[in-house]
Amino acid sequence: MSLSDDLANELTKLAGFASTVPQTVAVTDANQITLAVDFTAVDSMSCSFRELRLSVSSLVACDVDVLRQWAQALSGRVTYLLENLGPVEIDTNSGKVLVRSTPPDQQPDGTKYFEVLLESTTTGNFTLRRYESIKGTPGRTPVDIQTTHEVLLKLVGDLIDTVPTP
Amino acid sequence: MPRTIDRDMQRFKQIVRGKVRRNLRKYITHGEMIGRTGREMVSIPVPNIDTPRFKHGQRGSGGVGQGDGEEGQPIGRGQQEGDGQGQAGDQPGSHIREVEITLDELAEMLGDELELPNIEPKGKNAISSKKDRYTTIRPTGPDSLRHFKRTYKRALRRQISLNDYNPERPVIIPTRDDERYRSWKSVNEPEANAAIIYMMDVSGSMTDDQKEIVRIEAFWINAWLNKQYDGLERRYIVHDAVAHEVDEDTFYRTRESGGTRISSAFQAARKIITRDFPPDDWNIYCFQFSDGDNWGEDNDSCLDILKEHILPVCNLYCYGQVESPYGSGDFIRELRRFEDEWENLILSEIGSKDAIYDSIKEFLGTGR
Repeated sequence: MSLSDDLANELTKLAGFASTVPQTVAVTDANQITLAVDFTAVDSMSCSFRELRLSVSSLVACDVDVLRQWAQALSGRVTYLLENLGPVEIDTNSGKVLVRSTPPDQQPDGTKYFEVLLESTTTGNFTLRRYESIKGTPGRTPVDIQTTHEVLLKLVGDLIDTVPTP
Repeated sequence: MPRTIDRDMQRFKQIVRGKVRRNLRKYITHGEMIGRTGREMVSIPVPNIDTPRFKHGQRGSGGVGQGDGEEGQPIGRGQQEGDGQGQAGDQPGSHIREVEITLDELAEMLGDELELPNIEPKGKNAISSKKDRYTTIRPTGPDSLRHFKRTYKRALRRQISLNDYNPERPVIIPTRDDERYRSWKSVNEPEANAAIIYMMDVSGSMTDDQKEIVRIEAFWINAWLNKQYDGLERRYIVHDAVAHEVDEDTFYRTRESGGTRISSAFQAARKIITRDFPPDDWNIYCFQFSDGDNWGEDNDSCLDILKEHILPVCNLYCYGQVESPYGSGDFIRELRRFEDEWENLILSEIGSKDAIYDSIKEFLGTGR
């Protein structure tokens, strides 16, 4: 069974769940790729989650160019979220690539954007979050990402498909 | 006695300067002036100033207040207004006059406009430098320094005393002994020296618009501090995850795509201060500009270096946070936590070009 299938089963089990404290669902496939999603609400058609992580053991300590390649592949493929994604910062020293909504969703009272952090230093190679910043207030706060099951499963499928080989 | 034209010239200059002064806010927030900077002069475009004059109207077109009227009589209507058949003009518009103003004058206007206090330097008299002043006259020297008036006077005096001078034919021919030349004396002059260290985040999240804001603000800060200090040294640091000391041109033009580690800039600034500017003798100013999107774990290192090595030796440490499209920079929030502990820590949020004016006031309004 693929990660998407496992996740689909978990979503069915969680239908009706809603809490301010996220519930983490983790699934692992045969290639030792682990997917973890912190859900805050799930119903029969859609879900809301705080963070999505993908750990790819083969990418631990990989070259930053491999991450850059992953970031570019992801940005080209994941075009169905609220905003398009694009690499913003590449830190060669610490082996991190920061991908964000390009451009972010700018409203009169503030901004919302997706942020993906690709890292080679830890096992959490991929982290997806959404942030909100309010105009005139420094800093940002994480907000839940809301998608249909179909979009979430497609996202997971695309993540797995674009994982580079170091 | 001053000539009339001199008085007129002075009057004209006053009018032009008044225009510049009134529109200073506009000039501050627009960067176009920076490109017009020469070594000491700045060219500023000002609208043409026209002298008021009477113009004749069309014959018989009437007007207001002509002839005797009666109570209640309506005023005659002028020409009918309506859609004309004219087309857009194809001639160039009126020309903009450019006036030249010295950077010192501009800084003075800035100081007046923003009510900036003069700076009280530290370490005054601690450093002196030798300066050449052309205050003496010598019998030898290069032709370029020949003092014509003195030379002429000596020749005249000699010819009169030798009865060689003919008022009917007043020809004065200086000899070698008559020639006099300007000469210099080297004097030691005490100086209050200042060093400005500019730090700019050039990571991937800093856009060109944000860098333009930094550029404009740095120009005005420079102008003001230049006026306040005799010897002004500038150093430039750009950083993403790694910091580099660069020249002024590179400072404004570099675009990197690395991550943001503000601590790298602090390390570089600390190194420059230790190497070039002993804090007892120098007035040190640090100006840092970033969108504040520092990579989370770096904030602690930043605050440690800032508190231990930079704030204790600086007249001012100014941090300007320019707003990024993501609007999420939180480094300023970290600094605000201990803002009250350090008088020389000045923080400013620069949302757009329009905020530059107030930001300069926040930075330089302390008189430190």
